[in-house]
Amino acid sequence: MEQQLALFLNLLIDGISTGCLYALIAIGFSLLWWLADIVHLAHGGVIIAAGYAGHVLISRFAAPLWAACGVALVIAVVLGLSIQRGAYQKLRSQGTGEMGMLTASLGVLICMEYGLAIAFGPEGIQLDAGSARTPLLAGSGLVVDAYTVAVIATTAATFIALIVLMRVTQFGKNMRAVAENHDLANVVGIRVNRVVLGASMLASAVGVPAAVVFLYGRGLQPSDAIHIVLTAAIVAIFGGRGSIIGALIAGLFIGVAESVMVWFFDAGWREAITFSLLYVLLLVRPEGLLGKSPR
Amino acid sequence: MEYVLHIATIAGIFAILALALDLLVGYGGMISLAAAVFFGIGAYGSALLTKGGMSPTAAMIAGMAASTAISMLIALPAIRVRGIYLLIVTIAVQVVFTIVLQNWRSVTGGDAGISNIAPYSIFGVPLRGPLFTVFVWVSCVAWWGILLWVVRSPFGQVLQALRDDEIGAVSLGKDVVTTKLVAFAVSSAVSAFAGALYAHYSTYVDPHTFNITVSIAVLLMVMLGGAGTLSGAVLGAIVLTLLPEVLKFLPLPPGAAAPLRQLTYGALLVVVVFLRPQGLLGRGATPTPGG
Repeated sequence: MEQQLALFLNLLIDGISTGCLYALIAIGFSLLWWLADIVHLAHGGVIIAAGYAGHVLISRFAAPLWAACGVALVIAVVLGLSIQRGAYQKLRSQGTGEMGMLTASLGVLICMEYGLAIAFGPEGIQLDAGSARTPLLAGSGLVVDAYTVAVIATTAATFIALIVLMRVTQFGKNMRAVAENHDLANVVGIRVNRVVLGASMLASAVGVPAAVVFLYGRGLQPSDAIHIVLTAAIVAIFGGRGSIIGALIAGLFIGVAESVMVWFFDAGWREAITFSLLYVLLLVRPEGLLGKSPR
Repeated sequence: MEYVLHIATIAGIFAILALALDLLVGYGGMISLAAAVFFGIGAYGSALLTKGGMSPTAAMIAGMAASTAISMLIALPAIRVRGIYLLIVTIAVQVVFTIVLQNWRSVTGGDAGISNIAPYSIFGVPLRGPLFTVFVWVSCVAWWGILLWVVRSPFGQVLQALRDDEIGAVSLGKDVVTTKLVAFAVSSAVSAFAGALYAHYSTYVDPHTFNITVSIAVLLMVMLGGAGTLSGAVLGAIVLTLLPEVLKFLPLPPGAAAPLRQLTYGALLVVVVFLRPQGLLGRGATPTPGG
């Protein structure tokens, strides 16, 4: 019985740390979706690219972690900004419809995925977390290590920072205004395009912690790009439009659900569980757990 | 000569698949990245049932029925949602399908797939070589004609009206639910037909032939040729089947060919949307579904 409990708790811990990762990859995707109705599929590519940048610095140039994060951040922001300016805004001004935007965004994602595969090979990258993987609570049977704590702390810090940014700063207020009503925000003198550009930089920036978590955890492969953005989109839909807390809760919910389901099913079915959850949600409550009904 | 026949056969099979997807994407305005699912159900259905002793034609029809039934899974949410939601649902179904193929080993053979599938035969006469290529293209032209009739029929007109202005069409009393369900049913049945042809042609099916990269390629065929024009879907399928063959003649390091092909697909998707959003054979302004 005690063993069963320990196993369950460990699955729960694993689920929470997975859920944190899901929330991190989803929040950047969500921001652009809320603000500009942009389905930023290329976000998966941005996260992978940031991860590769960090990996190159650490493994080839033995750079310290903070420097690698800094460079990854710059690369992610530049990529996010160029995709926003070069693709999404250009297409918008051409009057491209929903289908065209989705297709273009998918195309950019594929280009990034296979560009990285050609440049660095398809086998993927990973960094050894070393001593951070030793269990902290020896003897208790619980697998809590420094890595897990760091993941949870990073997620908490990122989300608190985002919420503060949204509530306190002028930029955050502008973003909320644009998300609420695009046209009205424009009329009252908010430069909508600038706000969206800023949001796309912010979205890419919050993808960097996710990339680092991936690097030291399950690793990154170019072919993960589409899975990452798929998870991001599912978490975003689950959380509902316009709710940062919703995205966090949705990420944790899906992470824990996946983990605990491993108790009942073979691990190979893990993703099937997420998608079944999504399916039921879309049939029953398309606006998401905490979202407002679509206008 | 055999090489040319092979390319022609594959192009024909993908042309049927692209025609089927065009009904959804081009005429219905419902984006889908699950084309390979119905393609795969047709292929696996045919493979399993002919191995079980059924005649290829009966197996093909059974596969098409199964595909239609499963397409209702996507069609149900598609009644209410569109755009990103529909895209995500179709990707999800696609990924789950791949997972099922890989993990349900007792039926699908897992990653190893199913091999030694008998060639297609009509009335006990096996179709091989050029005969099969002719059969593929005859059936492609037949489906082309049938779909042309479908999109020009009152049903097809309502489908296009829903694409252009759903609320308007509903307020005129058009039946959204039936129209969308039928569109999915027809599209998935035709896709399964293509899948059955593929299984009998290659004599071997495995999960990788039916994963998301295939769905992306088929979507690209439709967008490149011109969504909403059936001739465009066929042209797109021919161009994109020939393209990797042309890339093969470039001097490339080993292992770079496959990613380079995908990279080209991705770049083409972006270029088409930018430069010729209506596709090669599309007319006039871009259809703007959901606008």
